[in-house]
Amino acid sequence: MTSPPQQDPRNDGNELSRRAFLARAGGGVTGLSLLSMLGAAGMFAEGAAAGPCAPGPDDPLAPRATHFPVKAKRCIFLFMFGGPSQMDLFDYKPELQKRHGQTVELDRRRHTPVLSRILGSQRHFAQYGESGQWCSDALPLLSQHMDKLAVIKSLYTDSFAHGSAVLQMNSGQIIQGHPALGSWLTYGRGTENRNLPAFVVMHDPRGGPISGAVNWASGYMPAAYQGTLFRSAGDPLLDMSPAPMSFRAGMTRAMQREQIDALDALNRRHAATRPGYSELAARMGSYELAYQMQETAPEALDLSQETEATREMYALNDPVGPHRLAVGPAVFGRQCLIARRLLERGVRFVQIYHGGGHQQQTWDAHQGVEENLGIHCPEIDKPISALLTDLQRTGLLDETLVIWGGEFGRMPVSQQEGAGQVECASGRDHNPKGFTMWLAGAGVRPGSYGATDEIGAEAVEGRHHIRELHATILHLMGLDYHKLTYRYGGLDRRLTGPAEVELIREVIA
Amino acid sequence: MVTFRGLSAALATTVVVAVSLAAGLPRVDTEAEALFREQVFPVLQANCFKCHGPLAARIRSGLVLNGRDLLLRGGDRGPAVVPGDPETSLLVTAIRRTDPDLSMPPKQALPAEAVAAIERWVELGAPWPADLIETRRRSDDPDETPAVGDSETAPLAGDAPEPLDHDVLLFFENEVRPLLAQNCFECHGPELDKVKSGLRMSGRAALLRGGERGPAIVPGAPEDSRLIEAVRWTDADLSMPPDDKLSAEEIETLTRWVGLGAPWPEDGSGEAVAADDDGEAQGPDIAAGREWWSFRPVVRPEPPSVAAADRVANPIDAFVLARLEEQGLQPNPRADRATLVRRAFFDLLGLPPTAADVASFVNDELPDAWPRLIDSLLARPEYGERWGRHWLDVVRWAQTDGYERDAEKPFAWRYRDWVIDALNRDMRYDRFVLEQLAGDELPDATAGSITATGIYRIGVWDSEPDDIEQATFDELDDQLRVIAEGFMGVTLGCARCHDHKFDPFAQEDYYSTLAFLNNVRRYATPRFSRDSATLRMLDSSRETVQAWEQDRTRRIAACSEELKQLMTLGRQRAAQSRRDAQSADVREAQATAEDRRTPEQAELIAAAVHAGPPTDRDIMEALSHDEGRRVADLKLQIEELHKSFEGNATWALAVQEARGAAPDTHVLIRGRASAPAQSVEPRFVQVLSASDEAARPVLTEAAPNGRSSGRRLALAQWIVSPQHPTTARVMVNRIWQHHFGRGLVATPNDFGHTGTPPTHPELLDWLASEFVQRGWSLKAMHRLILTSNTWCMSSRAEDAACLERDPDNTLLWRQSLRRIEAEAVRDSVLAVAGTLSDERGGRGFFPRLSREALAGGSRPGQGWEMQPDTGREPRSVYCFVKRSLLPTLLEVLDYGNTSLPVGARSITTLASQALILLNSEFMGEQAAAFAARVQREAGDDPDAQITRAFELALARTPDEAELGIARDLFRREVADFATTGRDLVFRARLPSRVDTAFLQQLSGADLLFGPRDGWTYLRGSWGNSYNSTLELDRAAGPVALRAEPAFGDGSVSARVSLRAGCEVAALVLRGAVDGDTFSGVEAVLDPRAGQLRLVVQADGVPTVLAEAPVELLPETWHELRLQVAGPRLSVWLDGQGALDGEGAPLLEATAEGAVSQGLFGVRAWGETLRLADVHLVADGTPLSLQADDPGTPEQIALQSLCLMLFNLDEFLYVD
Repeated sequence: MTSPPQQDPRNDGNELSRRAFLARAGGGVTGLSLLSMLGAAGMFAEGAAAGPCAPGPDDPLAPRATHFPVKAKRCIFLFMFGGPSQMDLFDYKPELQKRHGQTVELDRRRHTPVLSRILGSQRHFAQYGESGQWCSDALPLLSQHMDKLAVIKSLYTDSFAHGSAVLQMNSGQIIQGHPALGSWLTYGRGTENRNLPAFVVMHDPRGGPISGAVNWASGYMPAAYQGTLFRSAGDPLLDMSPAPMSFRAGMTRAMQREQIDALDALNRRHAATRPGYSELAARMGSYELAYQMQETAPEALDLSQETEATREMYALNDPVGPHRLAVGPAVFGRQCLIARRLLERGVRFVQIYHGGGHQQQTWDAHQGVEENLGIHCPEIDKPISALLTDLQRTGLLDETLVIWGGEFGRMPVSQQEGAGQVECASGRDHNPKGFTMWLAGAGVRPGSYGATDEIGAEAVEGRHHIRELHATILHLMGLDYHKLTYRYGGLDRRLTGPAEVELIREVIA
Repeated sequence: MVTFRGLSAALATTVVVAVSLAAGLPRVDTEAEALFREQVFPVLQANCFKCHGPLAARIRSGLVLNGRDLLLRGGDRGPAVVPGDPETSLLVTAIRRTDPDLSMPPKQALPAEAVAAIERWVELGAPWPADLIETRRRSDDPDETPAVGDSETAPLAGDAPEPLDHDVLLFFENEVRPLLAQNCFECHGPELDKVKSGLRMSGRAALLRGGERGPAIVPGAPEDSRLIEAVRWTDADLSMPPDDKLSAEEIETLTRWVGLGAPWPEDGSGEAVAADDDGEAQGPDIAAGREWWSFRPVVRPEPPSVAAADRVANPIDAFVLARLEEQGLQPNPRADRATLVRRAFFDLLGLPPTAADVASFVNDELPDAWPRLIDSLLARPEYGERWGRHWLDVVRWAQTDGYERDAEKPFAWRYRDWVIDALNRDMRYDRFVLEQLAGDELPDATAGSITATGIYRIGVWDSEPDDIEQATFDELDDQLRVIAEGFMGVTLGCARCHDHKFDPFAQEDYYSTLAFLNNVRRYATPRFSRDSATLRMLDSSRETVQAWEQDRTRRIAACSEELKQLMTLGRQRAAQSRRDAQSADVREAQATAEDRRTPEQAELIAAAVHAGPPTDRDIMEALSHDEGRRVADLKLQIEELHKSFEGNATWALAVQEARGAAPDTHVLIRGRASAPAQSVEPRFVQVLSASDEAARPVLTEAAPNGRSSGRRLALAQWIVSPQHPTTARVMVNRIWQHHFGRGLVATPNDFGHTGTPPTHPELLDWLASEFVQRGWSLKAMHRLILTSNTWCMSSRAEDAACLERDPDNTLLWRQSLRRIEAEAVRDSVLAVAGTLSDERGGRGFFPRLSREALAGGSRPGQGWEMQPDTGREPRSVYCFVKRSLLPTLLEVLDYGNTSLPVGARSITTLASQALILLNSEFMGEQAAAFAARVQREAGDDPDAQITRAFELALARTPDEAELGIARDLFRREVADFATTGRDLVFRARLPSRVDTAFLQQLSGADLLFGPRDGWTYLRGSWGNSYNSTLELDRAAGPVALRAEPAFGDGSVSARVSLRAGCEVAALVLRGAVDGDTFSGVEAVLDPRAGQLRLVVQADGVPTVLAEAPVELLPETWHELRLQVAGPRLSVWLDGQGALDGEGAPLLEATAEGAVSQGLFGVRAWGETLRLADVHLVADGTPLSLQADDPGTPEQIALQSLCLMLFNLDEFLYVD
């Protein structure tokens, strides 16, 4: 690094001189790559990552090449927290409906099998589109998009409990401390947008998912890869503007500029006597970026830039349903629309939780599956349909991987003799042995894959552990799950863990 | 019989073996057989077997070429060969490539002579000697080596089968193997990179070993074999092949085969499998493994001699200089004294020196000034807090369980305090290890040493595990990893499922180590009782226990007594009321002498008697509401006292072993609890023991305390024995790391082959040996390092030669510039602001969390507490650590992972850090406190203030240029703030739904931020209770009420601005406190509905009197006026008369007798509501309302300047 130019210290509003300094500090880079100096020192304390995708230590978020060419650039995960009931939505089981009320012996929560009463779905199913995929009348609008969806009906996971199952859906492990899927994608592909976080999480106004922030933590990876909570109203990011409870409540943007300029001037003097430490330049860059984010992040929330037709399509004008736990489709619709705007602006991974808190606040239908569907389906039906329509209309769908699903599915029997759970004849307990998720968009071949048994209790055909879903998601995002590793604790870690994994090849176009 | 015994694992070519499998096999090679053997078979094998070989990953068209029978059976298209007739044989058609639909091999034609040979062979009848079959191949692609963690476990010692009978052989090769190949190998084939469920059908041993579900076969017992169970499709969970069930005959074939003992000819020895698995079955080579640098014993090296002997203050310098001189590099000069003192403060205490600290050292001219400074720092309590925090990272310390409930681990803090205390007392490191691992088993166990065993209890714990057996081993694994990585610097945990891929740790090493811990009772919900698995009474003397029992008995008795009295009271009342309720007839009957009663009277009396004594229900009904609640409460208390009673005893979270013999420990196949294999004894890791003999522990029956097995003590003693190769090395490396920013070994938790080798191996060994010689004293090592010239070097990275040759400072030609850690940032801010409390120890401090951080939880605020605001906060090491809710400031500044052992934290530079350091409430408060301190100490002169602020923050005075920059900012901000900061600002501090218990701790002011002086805050109405959470009723609060005056008629006008996201904003008149809510009249702006409403609040119920649609733009000033005159209520919004009430109101209503008098108030939720130019007229008296005095523009500008200083690199980095 060369010495910075000496500045008149009072010349602090001089944009050019600051840029020039940063440029020189970074070894002659300019423009966007200037900001790529938001790097870290000593980032990979446990050893650097291997593989062609390994990010350099200087810039953990630099965009990186994929392992093989793919169209997907970004990903949105619509997380139906609580575990949606597959047999009431996509996994049509005529036998289940026929046998409603009969008893069947099923094991529940690893207890010895008990006689349970079959709870047939009250929903009406029909086939849609050219593909003739089944969908229930709980999602009347989404059913019009079945030709876009690759519906995987034969997933299974390890845990019956929300806490560990949500962790596993997010990080592949039922144990805390491992990086989330979004962290892996950010690590593997970097970011293409410096004014917004690369990995964004939005949650339900009823509450976050169980275990909260652990679900979007970067685990043993550096903080650069953790998910950032993004609010859909007010300040989208934490501490985006001065806390009104501080003396700075009245600060304007111009005043913040003055302050950052003075800080910059002082830091420049400090750095000038400490050549060779690129992190000092990176820190100055981080303040500049923070300043810019104050403009760009709220801009993503400004839905007045959208047409009234678009707002209407996303259900922003729709009323809240009558149920006391309902929040209405406008909330999720707003999040979906914001998500589309974030994706357009190059955010790599957006995860929106629908359902937050516990039980009927989520898709956790112990206390009545019809009641649960009545709360939640109308809240997602129109927004997701709008998102798919909108992504397709704008061409973004070709470059965007859409994932829909929850941490597990539900039982085909009624929660009458619960295993330590709420007893409710019309409720369904958790079911990790067979459940449905769907993918759409970039690189996805629409269709229906795998099957559960005749009553939907367990995946039996084309069974795939969610590790394999993760491997497939990475693959669709251009990353070889096997090669994407991060060294920690003596191991080259993978999202899919050490176990053998097969891609769900059928869904890859 | 030929086996694979001699085959090297490195033999990486296709192995086709013609074997004489059975002694009696007739071997007459005809001409045709010779042709086949020499010309045909090699061609088939080279060109066809990839898709049609018995071991093909995916058999094509159902055709397997492996024996005459199979040829004749053929594939999907029919028989492959018609013996004697090449023209109708599909095989021949295919290789002739005359049929476009059937051209084989698909990509390239066979050479003409090969085609001719095959034609001739078919013509001769296509004989296929039974001995010539493909038996095994292995990949020759070097890129296909198994990935980390993908290796398989060692095979079980399978009993070698007898040489096979010819019929059996033919049966296997002709019927069984093709069956397996066609139906199973697609997923379980021996050649696959990855097999499903860990089951690789590469031979008999592999089947015996099985996969994730355990062994696939039990030879001779088909009914007990999973393979048979699977193909029969009787278990829905295990139905194989998954898509097409085998035919009944096929199932019968397999059943018969397993019944025969599952003969598999070429798999007579384990080595065959070993050859397939890269030789892992033999286990790691221990003797060779002991040669790895960190597994060799520490041998104390002699410090080298160096040319620049004058630069050697102690041997550390000699080792470092020798390397530098070797490379012809010059070390940096010594840093200046002010830099050194600042560096020492941060290294040892994690806090900045004051200007006086710096001055006193800089001016201390005595030769021992430096060692004296070091000693004085080491003697301060902050030392243990700083270094204790480093250790807490290693042991993944936190105070809650994690997972869904994330419940508090009571007294987890005692472990933290024990660590800090041990370091402050400079406890010998060997003792430090012993107490943590086996403090309860020590002959001289103390309360402290028992507390130290909390290390076993502070990990994550899933209170609702999916698979309890597996969870038990996950917990043991967590403990084992901390011990292995933390104390020994080895990643033994990687050998849980298979032998370590890189280090010489066998899977058995893992389980033998686990055996030392296996008697530890599982973590359980803590109970204050003597048989608790997780809590222990620290003083368990007979007297203490007796006193505790008596205390409990006394309390139970007291509760019971009170309960009895209440019940008696209730009974009496019930009886009385029953009497009162008796009809006059009954009373008359009773008054009548028995012999004179009429039959009706007698019946009445009988019925009254028959009613019996009052029931519990009668009694409860007779009690008042409060009495009834007390009864329930007492019953609960009694129940709790019986189960769990804390009393006055001192409890700690500590290890407890199960009494009785320790359970057997088994190797678990692929780490699956459900797949136990051979049992193992406790044994030390072989490669870390001097010899195999030394790896055998001497175990006594039980520890001196008689309550545990003594196993952990044996393990701990081995770890701290001077012969242990890594213990001392690992610890001195940690010490070095925190003094230089990077360890001599950059991977402090991994000294194995995947770690980074030491930059200065001799120095590391010398330090390790010195550490032991100096009695394992950490403080002695700090003194040694800090008095070296190496540590004292300047951190400047300017030397061109060094930068060119060693830009990463691997050779230590300089110190390094380092950003201080999250805790040091927060602590420094507090120290400089003068708000650092000297409170130490205890349960911990709950920092105030932002509503954004709270909102991420499924029950926002659950398990968090609200601390009274004293204006002072303790050091960060005392922040309560809840795994699912880390204070944002610490988290964003790379606090680290609370679930896994952390050897070195990442240091990242992110925009989110800039945002939080500039804009967060905490930083704003601290900047204000800092400014107040500056003003107190420096008076009102701006230059004096700036100078003082620099002194406090950086322990130096600013130079002219810096003064200039600061002065300039100060001036600009004075001008800026002269015109801002007078608005009334209101903002919600909670998400709309929060945990009930958390909400109960909060006052109204914790819910709504607004001006303080002269305002009271109500929590508002929270309801819609669900699952321990409550939701705010946005129509009723929270509200801020101006304390005085109360008035009947009046008006308020103001300009209002709503931030985007604001959900409710309202002005209130005639407001009166009504419990948590209020009554009064309000003008409500509802931006989401786009409405203005006139509302009367009474008895906690809002009534809308009038409403109108309005357009409310965010961040836009609206003029709003609310007026009350008797029952007449009016509201104006924007437009004419909005502020003076001259024009026609937008809304008008009459509210007869609603509320007659009260206060002015404001209600807001969602985002910020800002009020400017507020004019209040109360019963004709005009009153002006302002925000709390934010101070003069000069004061605000100074605060702003102070905040900027907290963001300086010089403040956040240490040279």
